[in-house]
Amino acid sequence: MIKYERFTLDNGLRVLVHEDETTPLAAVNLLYDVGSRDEDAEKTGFAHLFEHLMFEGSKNIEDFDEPLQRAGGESNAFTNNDITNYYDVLPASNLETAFWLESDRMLSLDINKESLDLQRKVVIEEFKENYLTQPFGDVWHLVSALAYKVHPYQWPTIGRNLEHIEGFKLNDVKQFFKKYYVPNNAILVVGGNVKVDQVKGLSEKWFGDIPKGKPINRLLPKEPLQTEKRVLEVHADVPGDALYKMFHMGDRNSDNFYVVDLLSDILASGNASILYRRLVKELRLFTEIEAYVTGTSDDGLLILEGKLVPGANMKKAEKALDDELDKFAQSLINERELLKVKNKQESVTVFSEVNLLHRAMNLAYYEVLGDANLINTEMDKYLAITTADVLEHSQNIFKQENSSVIYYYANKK
Amino acid sequence: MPIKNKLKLDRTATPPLARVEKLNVLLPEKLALPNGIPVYVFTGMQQDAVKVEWVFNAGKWYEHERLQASMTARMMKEGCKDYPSHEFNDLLDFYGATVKSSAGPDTSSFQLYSLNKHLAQVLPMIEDVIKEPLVDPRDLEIVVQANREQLKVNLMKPDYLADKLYSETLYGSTHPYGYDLELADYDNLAPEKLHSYHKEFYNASNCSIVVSGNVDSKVMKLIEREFGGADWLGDKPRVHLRKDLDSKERVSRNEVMQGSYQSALRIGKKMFNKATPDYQEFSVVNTILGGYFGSRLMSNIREEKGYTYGIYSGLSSMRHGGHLIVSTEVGVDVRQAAIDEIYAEMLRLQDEPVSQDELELVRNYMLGRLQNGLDGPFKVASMYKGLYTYELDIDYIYSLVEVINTITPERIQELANKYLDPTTMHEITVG
Repeated sequence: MIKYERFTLDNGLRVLVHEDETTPLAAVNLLYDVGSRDEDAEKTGFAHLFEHLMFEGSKNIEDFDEPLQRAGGESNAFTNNDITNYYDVLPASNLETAFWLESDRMLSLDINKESLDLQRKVVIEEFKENYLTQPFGDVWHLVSALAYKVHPYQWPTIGRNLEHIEGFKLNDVKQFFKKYYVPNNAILVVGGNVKVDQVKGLSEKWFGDIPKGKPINRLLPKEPLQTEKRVLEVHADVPGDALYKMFHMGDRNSDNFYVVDLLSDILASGNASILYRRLVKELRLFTEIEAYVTGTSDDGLLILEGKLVPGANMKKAEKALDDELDKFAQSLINERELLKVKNKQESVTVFSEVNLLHRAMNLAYYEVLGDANLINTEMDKYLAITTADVLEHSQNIFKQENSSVIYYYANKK
Repeated sequence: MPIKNKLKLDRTATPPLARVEKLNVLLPEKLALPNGIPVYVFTGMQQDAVKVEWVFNAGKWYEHERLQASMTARMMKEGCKDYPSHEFNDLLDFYGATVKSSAGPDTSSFQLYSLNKHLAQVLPMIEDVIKEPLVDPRDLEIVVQANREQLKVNLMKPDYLADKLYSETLYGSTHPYGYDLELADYDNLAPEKLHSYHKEFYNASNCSIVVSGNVDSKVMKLIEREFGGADWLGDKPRVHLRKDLDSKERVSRNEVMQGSYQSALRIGKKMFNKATPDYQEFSVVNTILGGYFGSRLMSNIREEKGYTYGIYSGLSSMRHGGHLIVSTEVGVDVRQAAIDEIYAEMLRLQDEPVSQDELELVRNYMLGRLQNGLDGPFKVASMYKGLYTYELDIDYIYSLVEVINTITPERIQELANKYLDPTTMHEITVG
């Protein structure tokens, strides 16, 4: 049971406090409810570039990291399709430093053309390092664009291409900041060796006078129901062939998510999983196979990916995979198989709660999903799932017309 | 003056700071099992979870042939006679337990993460697999095939190749710290080679155990029951002497990869390990140079020039050696400019004393990180493993705190002059 208290400032900033006196540390997690799904289709990658700019100093503070490091702390951030999340961990005795820094960059950024150009260069190197230099580095771009035709999940967080990143203007920065980096679009979680009253006082002091922004009305197009299987064939300089198969599924808050999340574990989590046993060990078609869900705030994907054994036939490998998936849509799975993944889920949850920063991050994430208390109740949702649920949801998603597949071939030498 | 002005917040003023003066380190309880295995216990956690780590002197240092250390460790996750691969992994999953097994330069490690409530069911299986792993030929073949495919992918990555060339340059391609795998190394692998390696090194006399988390007497009784017996005593490994490459001659290598968008750079030299007197002081020098986000390398090469997404310098410590490594991936067109800046930063540390202001920042940063690295039994346990395997103890942490608090700009400059001469640095670039 993770205890927390919640209050909201007049400007709409939601604050959650999680006291834990066993640690000498404090974790400050500030989540902004904006991600790459909120980008203009012609200016993709902007939410992530913006995250970089948030470390370039604010109106009253020249540099973000330096004072935090001086306080014995460290900071980082990540951007995904749905959110941008900033976090600081520091000795609890220096908690106020994090409030000072985070509130100033919410109040007003200090971005000029030089800092924009510089972080643009850094992000271009990040793009090259992770998406152009690595074998299979372009897969995420291909997966997103094949599975989504309308919804902004069709581009990855890093951006569709380098040209978009090269094209951002200072005015884009200003508008984005004004619209999304406002207290009513943020969730602050403070955890560790702190007191609720102390956090209340600091929140009022540092965030209280930041003006509220306009309410944000997110009107994203819903991805239409897919009616035909999509196929993409790729040839690239990689050492071996790979298969990627995606199925549309529900959003992070749907019942469908919980069932398919467990199902992905049954399919391919570890060497005792069904797909590993059948496709890797028995049929020797793949050298490795994985299944995972994207868990996005709007409708997501179940993704199956496997590296083929050298010489294995792509279509045969896909057929063998389909045969295994079909079994889930045809009959009930064994009760023990379901209990096994529930036990595993329980264990994963307990271990993830050991770390203070994880607890703070999870509280913020569940709050943006709609209810911070999911941190304590989510396990019950997993436990309530029956084998009949697995059958029903498998029948709904494991249909060829709901799938997209990438045949990723190695160029012949 | 209107009242609201009196309340106006001065956002330009830094809130007062407190330095971490004293660290409260959770101390190990040191025990021994009846067969003599030393056990280090770190307890005190809210969650009902434990981590047990078995450490053997069975890292690459002890190999007779390449791959013996890492593949023996790897195959221990594939079960034992009573619980062959599928059954072993299936039961572990069923009890929500996770195992990790790996071999480093000197030691190998088998880690179990389990909820307290399932430990009694899980531990007997772990006993079997540690004392007598199966190494089924068919399972081995499948693991080897997956590893070979992964290695093929890695061999196409500039950063992987640069690391490989760098360690070969420092220690030589036949040395356990220096070699990195070739695809052909897998051709000679056979179950017998792993069985014999296991038989030689995986015994009670060559083992230590670290237990952390919610550790009570029930947990300790289970560990003693499964691992405390005389049934798996053996010999301590003889100390092998390995001759490493005399790499005083400066090496500069540039491997071109056609069509690459980036160059991977590795610059550095052989140094010493953490038990050596200069190590703790030099770790402060390293932090200033490239050990954190605000470091000189990061400020210059990422934050001023935008040449890279990241650049770091670090100290690697092994029982029989150690080295400094500066690593980064930069745009191909700025490769030489980046190298020049790395050397310029080394020279600047030699030529100018660090300002009190920068030093104060680094002191606070390092102490804060240390406090973070010691937060909770799991973290202290893994830090302690990095101490006792070098025959060091908790007082090493206290002396590090002392060093961080008292080192002077003069001493930092002296160490930079002693160790950071650019003409002694090896230089590897790939891409």
